[in-house]
Amino acid sequence: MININLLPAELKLQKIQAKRYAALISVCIVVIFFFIVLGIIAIAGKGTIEDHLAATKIAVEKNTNQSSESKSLQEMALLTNDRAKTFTEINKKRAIWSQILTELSASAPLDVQFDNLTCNAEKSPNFTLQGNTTTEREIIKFKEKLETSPFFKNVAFKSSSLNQSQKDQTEKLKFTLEFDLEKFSSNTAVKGFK
Amino acid sequence: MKSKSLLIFGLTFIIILAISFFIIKPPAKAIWKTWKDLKQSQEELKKSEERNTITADLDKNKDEISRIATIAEKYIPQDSESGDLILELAAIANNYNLKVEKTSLEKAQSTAKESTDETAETTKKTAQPQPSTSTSASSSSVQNVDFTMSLSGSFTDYLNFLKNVETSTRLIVIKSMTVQMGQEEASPVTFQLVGTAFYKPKVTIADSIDNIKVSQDTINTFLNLKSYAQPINLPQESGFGRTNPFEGY
Repeated sequence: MININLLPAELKLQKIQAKRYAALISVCIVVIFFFIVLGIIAIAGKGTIEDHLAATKIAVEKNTNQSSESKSLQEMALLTNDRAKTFTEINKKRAIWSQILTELSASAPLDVQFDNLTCNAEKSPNFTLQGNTTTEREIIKFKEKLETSPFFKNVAFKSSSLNQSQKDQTEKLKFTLEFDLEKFSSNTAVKGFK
Repeated sequence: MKSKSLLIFGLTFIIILAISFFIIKPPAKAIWKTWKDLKQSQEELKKSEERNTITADLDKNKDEISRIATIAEKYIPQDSESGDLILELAAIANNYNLKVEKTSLEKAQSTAKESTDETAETTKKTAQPQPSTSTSASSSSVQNVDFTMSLSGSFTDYLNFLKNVETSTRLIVIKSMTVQMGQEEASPVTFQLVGTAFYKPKVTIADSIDNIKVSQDTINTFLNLKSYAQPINLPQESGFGRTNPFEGY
């Protein structure tokens, strides 16, 4: 079937134009409508997210409002860790003298007797040892033994002199050694902290 | 025709702009702010829940935590507690048959580096000897109680004394010592030592989740410490009141 449009050309153009405007206006209305919907969603979303925030804040407040017993426990834990931390810091520079003196005793040859021992962890030489023995060989033996010890370093022979004991008339070789501390201890005195 | 289309476009654009500015923008801005607050609150919630879990764990062992805290506070007390320090040292010495010949305490000092440097600087500037910075220098830092002690006895007992000082419930650091052989063959060895005990008026670590967890290592360490002296408990102490205190007891 053939449709023949008998409308005059001017009217035809007007109709086409009107259709185009209608289409354009429809598109614009849809776009405007889309933006209005977006606005409504934003307003609704704002309400929802605010409710969510309020609920979270209430939960935080509920969790934060602890009993005085819980607070006291936390304070105790904090104090314990504070003291443990302070101790760890102090312990790094702490000389464990019981281990050091045990090592020093273990390094002494059988024929060596200590007369006077001065130890100072803060001043070099850390040790000044005066003692007596039978021969120079014993002194050097002692010096070398101290040098091999992981606790001592810079072992220096200072002097030796022959003295006669007034009591039993025996001769004793008095000597002085000076040396430093290699490290404060092989391990910490109080186990657990590193 | 073109001008009419442009008018429609322009009008639509203005309407969209108005909707965006007056309807969409205020809630969108509020959503963004609320979203950031929400994230922050969720973070806080997570932390508070974690803190509650740790507190619940602490609560399960509250007796032990309380005991450990008491030991920790005795180890580095809030006050100098010099009386207890003297009692502790004397008790350890007596425990190992060492005779305490002399004990003396020095003025409390701060170990804080800043305060020491400050003192050094002041000394340089004034070129005059200044008294050492006392407890007021830095209330949060560790303070020292220096002491000297003279003992006599055997060397073996002295070694045991040192071992026990190192594991005592009061943190004591021996700085220097002199060991002198007795004048006679049978006379005891004399020991002179200079040491420091510590105290800390305030807790300085941050109140964070990590710092309220008490590790088993820390618990064991404090439990391994040993106390020797019986502290003075005034209400229970007896034997007070003398008519003539200048008369022999």
